[in-house]
Amino acid sequence: MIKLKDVSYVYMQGGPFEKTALKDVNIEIVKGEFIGLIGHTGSGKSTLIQLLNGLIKPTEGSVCVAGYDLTDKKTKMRDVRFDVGLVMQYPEHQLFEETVFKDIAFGPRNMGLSEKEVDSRVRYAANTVGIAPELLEKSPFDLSGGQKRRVAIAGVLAMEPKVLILDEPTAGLDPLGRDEILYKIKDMHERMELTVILVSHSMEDVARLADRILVMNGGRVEMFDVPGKIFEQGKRLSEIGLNVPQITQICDRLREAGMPLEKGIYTIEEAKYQISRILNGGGAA
Amino acid sequence: MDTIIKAENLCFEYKNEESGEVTKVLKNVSAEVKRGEFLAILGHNGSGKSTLAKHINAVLTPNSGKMYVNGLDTSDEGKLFDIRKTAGMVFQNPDNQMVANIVEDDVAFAPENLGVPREEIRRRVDSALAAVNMSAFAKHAPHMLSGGQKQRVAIAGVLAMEPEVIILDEPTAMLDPGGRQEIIDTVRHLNRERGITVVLITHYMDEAAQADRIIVMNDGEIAMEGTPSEIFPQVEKLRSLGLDTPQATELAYELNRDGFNINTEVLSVDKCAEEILRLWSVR
Repeated sequence: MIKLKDVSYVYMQGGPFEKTALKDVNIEIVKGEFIGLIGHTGSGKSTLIQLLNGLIKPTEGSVCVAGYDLTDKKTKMRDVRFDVGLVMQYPEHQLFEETVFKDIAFGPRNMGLSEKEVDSRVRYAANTVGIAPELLEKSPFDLSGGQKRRVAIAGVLAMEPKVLILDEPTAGLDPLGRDEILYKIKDMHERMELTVILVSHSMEDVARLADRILVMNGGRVEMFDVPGKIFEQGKRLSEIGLNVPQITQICDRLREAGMPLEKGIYTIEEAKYQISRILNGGGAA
Repeated sequence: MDTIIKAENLCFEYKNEESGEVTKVLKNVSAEVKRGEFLAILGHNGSGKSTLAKHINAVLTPNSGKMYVNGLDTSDEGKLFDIRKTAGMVFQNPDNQMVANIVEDDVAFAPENLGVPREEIRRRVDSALAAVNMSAFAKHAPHMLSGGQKQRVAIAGVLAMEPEVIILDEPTAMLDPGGRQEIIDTVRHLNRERGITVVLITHYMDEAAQADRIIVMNDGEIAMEGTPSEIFPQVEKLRSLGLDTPQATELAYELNRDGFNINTEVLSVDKCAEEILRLWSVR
């Protein structure tokens, strides 16, 4: 679904503020995968998602997404944007229509779909993100912060993209709002066979949802593996300025003190299971 | 320690002009904050926590009941100036709080408005920037700073008024983990070393865990109140209020529920690991 080959990106090339944002990036993501993308500010993750959506073109290398070669001049970027949905940070700031319905309908209408098709897509997308039908005729500005954000996500979903990229979709939400959004994303991923890339600062959130985690550092791919393997490298993650989940830190501490726990534990359930087993006199799992 | 902030049966409501619908945001809230205390306020969106905080420096005033800051009644308009000098507020979005093109000018904005003499402003700006560890950036342009740095400048701007209380309304919500840590370290430093009373509103449980005391708001009322080690072991209750628990506390709670004799009042990685190792050694 997504393939990046030897990709580099340099901002303001040749100018006094020249800055290499990405260097030798090689990534392959298959259809239906749920990818967590992590990296501290300046690691290159934002540049990477802009490349995937065709907002910028690589300085070197090739980018293929959803069957399009984004480095080919003949590719129609308009089509790419319909198939690769990007939900930006604080997407609720981009709501602008008079009603929730019109806002969600903006994308599909631009695709030139019939009114009937637009209507059914809007309703499906709204339902998917948990926006009740009676809210569709309200002004988006009368909704709560969490609701606004879900409307903004529905606007992208209504285009029925093949790839959905979300940049920090839970930033600024309370724990309940955060869990709701993450649950909806997981649900959409499963129901619509979407390929999802979730950008987050929260290791805990990413660990819960992703099939694989892509860790960016200094414009390069630092790690790209299943969560368990990523969290085995707790020390390295801390070194590059990332937060290791508390639960992983606790298990690492216990293992250093001699308890025979496995490496790379990142959920409370797994930690509880292994620790109770040892405390009950069992050996290593 | 004496009381610096006191809410007495405070009620606040607003009316939708179109529909005439009345929303009660705060219902009979009574609370106190001691001088020098670090208080965290938790609660889901719409619980009333920000509204309560906005009463402390008289951005809002109660419909009924009272709010006192340093003994001053916030409903008394004549005292507004003194109240705002006593309690300064830092907001969520650092970009909305910058008013000048140079960091030190930004920090000088409030004392200039207060009519503080020139030499005194210089002293206050230098001291405020030093307190948030931003002296090296005094001549920089705010828009070139990181989110955490901007937010520290915003804190310095409040400090330059030499307030006794700082209220921070989700100051880390828009920051990355590094920026968050900078802000929390700064806030703790101001509280411990400079004796400034801190009221921190946050969604992050690990930040609240560092406070002296926590108030949990729900539906316009105080739902829970106590020290972090009293609050966080109540995992089920927090969940029902739409909040979560630090993972360290949750693990201890889960093990305890399975019958292990573990102390659930653990808030940090260190304490949780220590408790589990204690169980392991006596096994």
